[in-house]
Amino acid sequence: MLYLLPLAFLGVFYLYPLLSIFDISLRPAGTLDLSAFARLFLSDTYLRTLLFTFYQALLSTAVTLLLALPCAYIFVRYRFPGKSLLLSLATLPFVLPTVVVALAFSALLGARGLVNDLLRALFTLDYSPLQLERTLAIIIIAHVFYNFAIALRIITAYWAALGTEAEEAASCLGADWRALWRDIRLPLIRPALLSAGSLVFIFNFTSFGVVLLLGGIRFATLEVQIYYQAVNIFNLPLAAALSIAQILSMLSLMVIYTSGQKKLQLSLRRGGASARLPRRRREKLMVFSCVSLMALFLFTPLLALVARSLFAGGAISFDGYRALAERSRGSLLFIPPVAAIGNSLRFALLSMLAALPLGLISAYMIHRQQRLARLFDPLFMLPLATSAVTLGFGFIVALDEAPLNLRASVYIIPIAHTLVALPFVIRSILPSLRAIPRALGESAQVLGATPWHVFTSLDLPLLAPSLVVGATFAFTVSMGEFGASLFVAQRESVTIPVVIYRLFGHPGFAPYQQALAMCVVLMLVCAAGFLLIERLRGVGGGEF
Amino acid sequence: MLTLAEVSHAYGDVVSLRAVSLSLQPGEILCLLGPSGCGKTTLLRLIAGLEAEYSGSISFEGQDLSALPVHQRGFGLMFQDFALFPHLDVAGNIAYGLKQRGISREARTKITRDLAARIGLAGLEKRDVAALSGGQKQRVALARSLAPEPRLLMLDEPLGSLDAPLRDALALELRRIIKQQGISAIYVTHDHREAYAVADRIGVMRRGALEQLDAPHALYQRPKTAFVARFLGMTNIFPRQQNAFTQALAAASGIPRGQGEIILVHPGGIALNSPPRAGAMQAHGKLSSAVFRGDYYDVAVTAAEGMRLAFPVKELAASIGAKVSVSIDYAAVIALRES
Repeated sequence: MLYLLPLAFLGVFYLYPLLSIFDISLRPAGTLDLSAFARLFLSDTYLRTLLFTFYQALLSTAVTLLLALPCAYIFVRYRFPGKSLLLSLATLPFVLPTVVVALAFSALLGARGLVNDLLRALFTLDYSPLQLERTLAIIIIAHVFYNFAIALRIITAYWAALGTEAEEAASCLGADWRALWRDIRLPLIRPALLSAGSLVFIFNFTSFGVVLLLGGIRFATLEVQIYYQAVNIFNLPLAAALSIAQILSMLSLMVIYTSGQKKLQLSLRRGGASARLPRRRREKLMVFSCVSLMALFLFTPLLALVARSLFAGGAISFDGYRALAERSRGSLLFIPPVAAIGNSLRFALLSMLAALPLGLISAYMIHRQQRLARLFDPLFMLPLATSAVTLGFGFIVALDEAPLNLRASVYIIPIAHTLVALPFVIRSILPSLRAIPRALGESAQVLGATPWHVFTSLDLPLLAPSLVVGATFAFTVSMGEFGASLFVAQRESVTIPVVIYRLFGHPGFAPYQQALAMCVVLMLVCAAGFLLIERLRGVGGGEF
Repeated sequence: MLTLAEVSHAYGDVVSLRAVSLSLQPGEILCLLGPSGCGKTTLLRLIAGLEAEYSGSISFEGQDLSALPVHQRGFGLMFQDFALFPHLDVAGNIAYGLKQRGISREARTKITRDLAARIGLAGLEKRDVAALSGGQKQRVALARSLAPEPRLLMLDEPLGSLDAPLRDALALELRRIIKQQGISAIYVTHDHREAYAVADRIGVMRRGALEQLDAPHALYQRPKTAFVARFLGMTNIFPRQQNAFTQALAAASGIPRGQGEIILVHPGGIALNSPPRAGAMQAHGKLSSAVFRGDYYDVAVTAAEGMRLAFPVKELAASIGAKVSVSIDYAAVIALRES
């Protein structure tokens, strides 16, 4: 009976909005009309949007893998002080909200960024010499920054488990270093490369905040185009058609990813640890340069963000932070930014409280209903495969009339966030649930525990760490969620990322400074959540 | 006590139990012995209530158990890997069943302390279960099962995950403790030596059916089927019609025609190079193998007719390949059924 709860939630808040999108796109006036779809493929602009989405995702993925591969090699083969700390900290960008990443790069490389400030001061220029904002390059850099660690982790974990026997055998048979890479290493880690590649591609394909903030409409991906069509031009049928294109692309990508994931699990668990200290000078140099470049790449943008938020007009200044409590002029915002912080915290708490029980019930459902699990498991993962923008769009087209008129309700935001967070919560709990031996529950029953007691006295304590991980995921995901919030947030219910976006888009120095200050606040909240998750990962774990 | 009548069970299409009937006497330790997959663990799970779908009836003290949920049966079940609760300490594990029965904290503490002392866990109450040795874990699991004073104790390969030297000692101790508590027990194992040490009666299972149920000594002396004999480690099993010698041996041993088409020559009734005597049949052959076992040798003699007889001897003078004679007691020749 309890199982109906998550199913109903998904049905009402996921499937129904999605069907509404289909409806609007295919029958805009009540009769079947494929003209929106036709425009998608006939019109040059939208075809170009589609192609550009693929192109930028492919490029970002390729660069990510190209950079992650040598680093993975270093991480697999060498031991060095601070290795696990670096690997753990390198994952921080991955949990940061897109707006934070976008503004971090703007604070570093943008026209108003630190590097330009520095260059201007050094060469006494009156213009910004580095013109990266609104270029493809900065989008790609931000995407690589975002996904580098996830690729590194997948490849490293797989590679480390392979051991070095095959390589040693090949060396004895006369393979030189080129042959080793070509014939042994690359073929062996191919499953990990494919898995990491497809996952990173998915993230890049659905990237919204980074592209919108750093690229603008000139570099519109499907996501940005959906938002633009739905909100700026109000062409709902076309936005819906774009959403469907998005959903279909994502579904096929997910299929590729999950099938690769299965292979990955099958072939894991072989060989042993093979890392050793670098001995020769060349090795030491290699390790040192890899580590320092990685640290430079991963932490400079975040440091720049903090520095830039505290640095205005050539002097240390807390103006950005001070202004958070003020309501800004004009139509820019209707509430002071600090109220948005309150909103975000409240929504994050609500989303966490909703996603945790729903996720727990769903995890039990997937775990217990072996036969139906094949169906449920992908069903609960679907929201992950649907972009936040599509979800938000679905909400505004589906939930705007009785009995589900939630457009004006503030709860629409936590509901959307719960939907986005649910897969994370399930993925955090499920492995721990699967790891509880069946005999434990049976022992407890035989000893007289009712099913409810088995749950409270056995499952709950054993699941506690992963429940905390799941809750933290839900909280941070909600804090940083941008795409759906941008669609559904009302004037009074804007969240931190939405406010950052509004402030960032506003000309002038003060709003930018405020946006940076809010980014720092958001980053600190998410970093705290991240540290908690990382600490508990060993105890509770999680599978992604 | 416990009575099973015609109990059958299947996992999907795979039949795991075929019409098993048995009854357990008060205070008795019954061993279920058989190879893996013979259904012995399934039988325990059915009695415990962990598997619901079965035909036939399982009753305890006259009460049919089919409608009684697991947690109300008041049985104890000790799992092969002990299934200790990793988030509770030793005392927490032992007291778990008491707590479910609503026994007060003071009483729990007292029972737990007494039991821990009796089972050799004194002073370990606050220990993390992950930090225990295999033998200690086994004791905790036993104490946990015994604490709520179950009406019936079931043990599923309780020594299966322990090292061989530990197993012999713990098997005896298990029997001592169970007998001391006066509890009826069903003990599942695949090791016949362990079963001999622990059981009052042994039931040998094969492919879901109970093949023979007897006291250990009777089982060893008089296995009824070729499967039971083989499972107890006996190898001198021949079709009666194999050759003139086996036919003569069966006839001389007084096994009527048509009753035993398979015969077992009990290794205890075979002697090497002993002079011909009454009540025994003499045969000649070659010593084909001899394995030194410490106190004795395991030897095999290939008799002239091509049959291979294996048995233990105390002393060995002959070398491999030497011509030897064997004498076989008629009393050691037993008729077997092809299960």
